[in-house]
Amino acid sequence: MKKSTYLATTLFVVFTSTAFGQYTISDGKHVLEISGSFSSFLNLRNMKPNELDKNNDRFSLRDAQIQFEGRVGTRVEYDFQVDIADLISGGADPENPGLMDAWMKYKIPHWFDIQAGYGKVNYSRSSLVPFNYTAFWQRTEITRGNFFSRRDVGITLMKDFWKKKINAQFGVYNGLGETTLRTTNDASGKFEYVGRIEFCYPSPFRHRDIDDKHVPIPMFALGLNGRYANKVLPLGEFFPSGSAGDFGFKVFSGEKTTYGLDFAAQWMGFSAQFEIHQIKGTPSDTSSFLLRDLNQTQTKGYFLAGGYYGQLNYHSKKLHTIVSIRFDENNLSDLIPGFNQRFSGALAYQLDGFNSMIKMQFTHILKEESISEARWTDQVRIGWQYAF
Amino acid sequence: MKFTLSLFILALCFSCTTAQSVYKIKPKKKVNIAVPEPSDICLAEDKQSYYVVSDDGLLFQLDLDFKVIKKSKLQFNDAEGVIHYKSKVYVVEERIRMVAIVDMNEDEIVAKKEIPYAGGRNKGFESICYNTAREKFILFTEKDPITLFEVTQLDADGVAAQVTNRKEIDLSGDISSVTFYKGRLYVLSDENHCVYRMNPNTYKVEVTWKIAVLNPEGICFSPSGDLIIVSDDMQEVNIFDFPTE
Repeated sequence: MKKSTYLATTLFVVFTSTAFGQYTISDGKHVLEISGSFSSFLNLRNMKPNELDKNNDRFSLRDAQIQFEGRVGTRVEYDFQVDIADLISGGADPENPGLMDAWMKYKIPHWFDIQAGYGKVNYSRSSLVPFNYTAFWQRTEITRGNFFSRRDVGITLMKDFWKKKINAQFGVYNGLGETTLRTTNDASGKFEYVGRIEFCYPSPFRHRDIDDKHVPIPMFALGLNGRYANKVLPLGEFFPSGSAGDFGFKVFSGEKTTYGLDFAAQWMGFSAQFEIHQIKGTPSDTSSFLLRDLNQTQTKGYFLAGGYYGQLNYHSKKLHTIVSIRFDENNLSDLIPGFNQRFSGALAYQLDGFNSMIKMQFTHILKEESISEARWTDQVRIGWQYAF
Repeated sequence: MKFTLSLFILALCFSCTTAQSVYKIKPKKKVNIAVPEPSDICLAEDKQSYYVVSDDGLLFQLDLDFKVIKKSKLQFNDAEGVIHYKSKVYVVEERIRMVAIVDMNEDEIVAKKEIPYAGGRNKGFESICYNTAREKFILFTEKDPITLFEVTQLDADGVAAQVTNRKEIDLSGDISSVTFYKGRLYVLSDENHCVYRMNPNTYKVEVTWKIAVLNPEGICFSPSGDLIIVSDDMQEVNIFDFPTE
C-alpha cells in the first residue's frame, strides 16, 4: 500500500488549481460547446494465494475524452463524444468504449423528442449516470455492460409528462450493443426493443448518484425497464467478435428478455440507489453452452441470470468529500449453483467539484460463482479525474 | 492502508472553510404557476404584474395572484433572466450570450445585445438586474466561476453593450438569480439553497438566508415587500415574509 500512499499525497499537494470548465461558441442560433476530460488511476490487487499470473498492479489511462455538444435553435440538438484512449486500445469495453456518443435529436413541440444515432440505451438508471459524477472507478458487474448493452445504434422516442415527473423512452436498436459499429447488423436481421419509464417525486430527478446540492426536500425516483430481442442466427453465421460480453449471454442466438427496476433517493447530501435486473434467455440451439449440458427436462429450454446492487453515499460540502459504499450480487446462470457477491467502498475528494476529483475505490470479493472466478480477492484503484 | 486514510482525513480537515451565520426562513405560501420550467421572475415597474421566463424560451406576464394574463408569441433560444426597466422587458438568453430587449405592448424584440462569454453552455448568464447604486446593469454567470459583469449601453439601440467591469465573485456553488431592492442586491443560489444580501458597491455578502426550496431559479419582491422565490422543478412560487436578520 506504500504506492497508494505516495500517489494520494502527491496528487493532493500538486493539483490544487481550479478548472474553468467548457468553452462555448455561438452565432446567435447555433451553440457549440467543447469540453473534455482525462482520468488516470493506479490499480492494485491482492492476488489469490495459488495464482501464478502475478500481473496484479498497473497504471491506467481510463479516459482521454473530447466532446462536442450542440444545439441549433430550439429544435435540434446533437452530441459527439469520443474517448481517444479507448479508440487507440481498439477494444469495445461496454463500460468505457471509444465512441461514446454520436447522435442527433429533434424536438417536436408538445409531442415528443426523437433521437437517432449511436448513444446510451435508456435502460438502467445506473448505466445512465455519467461516470464522472460518481466516486467509484467502476460500475457494478450487473450494470457495466456484460449483462446487457449500454450503447447501441438506433432510434429513440422520448416523452415527459406531469411537469417532467414522469419520463418515458422507447427505442429500437440493432441489438449488438457496443460492437454494433463493426458490422451492419447480424444475420438474424432482427432488432432489439428497449423501453424505460421513470416516476420522480416531488420534482424531476436528474441521473446523478450524489446529492451535491443537498436538496432540502427528500426526492425519489422509481424506474421500470424492459428490453427484448429474438435474434436467431442461420446455421454457420456468427455475431461480431466481443458482442456476447464476458459471460457469453449479452447477445446470443435465441430469445432474450430482460427487465429491471431501479430506485434512487436523495436528501441533504445523503443519497441511495438500488437496482435489480433479471434475464430470461432461450437459446435457439438446445446444445448451447448457456444451457450447461443439461437436458430439456432440467432446463425447460431456458436459463435465468441477473442480480442487484444497493449503494449509499454522503456528500460533505464542508469537506469537499464523497463517501460511498456498495454491495452487489449477481447470478450468471440459475443452471449452475452459486452466485457472486462484492463489497465496494469509495472516497472522493473534490478539488473543484466533479471537474477535478481524486477518487479511491476498494473492492472485496465476498463470494464467487464457479464460472466467473477472478484472479484476485481485493482491488484498490486510486487516481484523478479532470474535466475541462 | 490506515496511514493513507489518516493522511486524507487530515488533509481534508485543513481545507475546511470558515462557517458564517445563516438564518433559516420558511415560505408562508406556495402557489403553482402555469409556466413550464420557470427560470426567473421580476416585478413590473408599475407593480401591477410580474414577468416570468422559462427554460423553454418563453415569456409570460402574470397578475399579482400569479395567474397568467399574457403569453408572448416570441420564442427565445433559452431564457434564464428577466427584468423590467424603462418600459422594456430584458430577457437573458444564457446559451447564446444575448440580452433581448422586448416591447411587450407590441410583443416584439426591439434590440438584441451580445455579451461574449466563453464558458460552458449552461454556465453562462443566469441573471440580470439594474444596480441603481452604480447606475449599471449587472449580469452574473452561473458558476465555474461565478463572474459579475457590469454593463452599460444595454438600452441604447444600435450601440454595442459595453462591459465596464468584470470580476469573479467569491461564493461557492452557483448564482441563479439577482434582484435590486431598497438599496441592496439580493442574490439567489440554487445549489446552496440560499438568498444572499449583497452590498451593491462592493458585492460582498452581508447576510445569508437558507431556504427550503427545490431548484430555486428566480427572485424578486412583491409590491408589499414579500420575498418571492420561483422553483423551476416544482413550477411554483414560494412567498416569504421580508427576510430579517
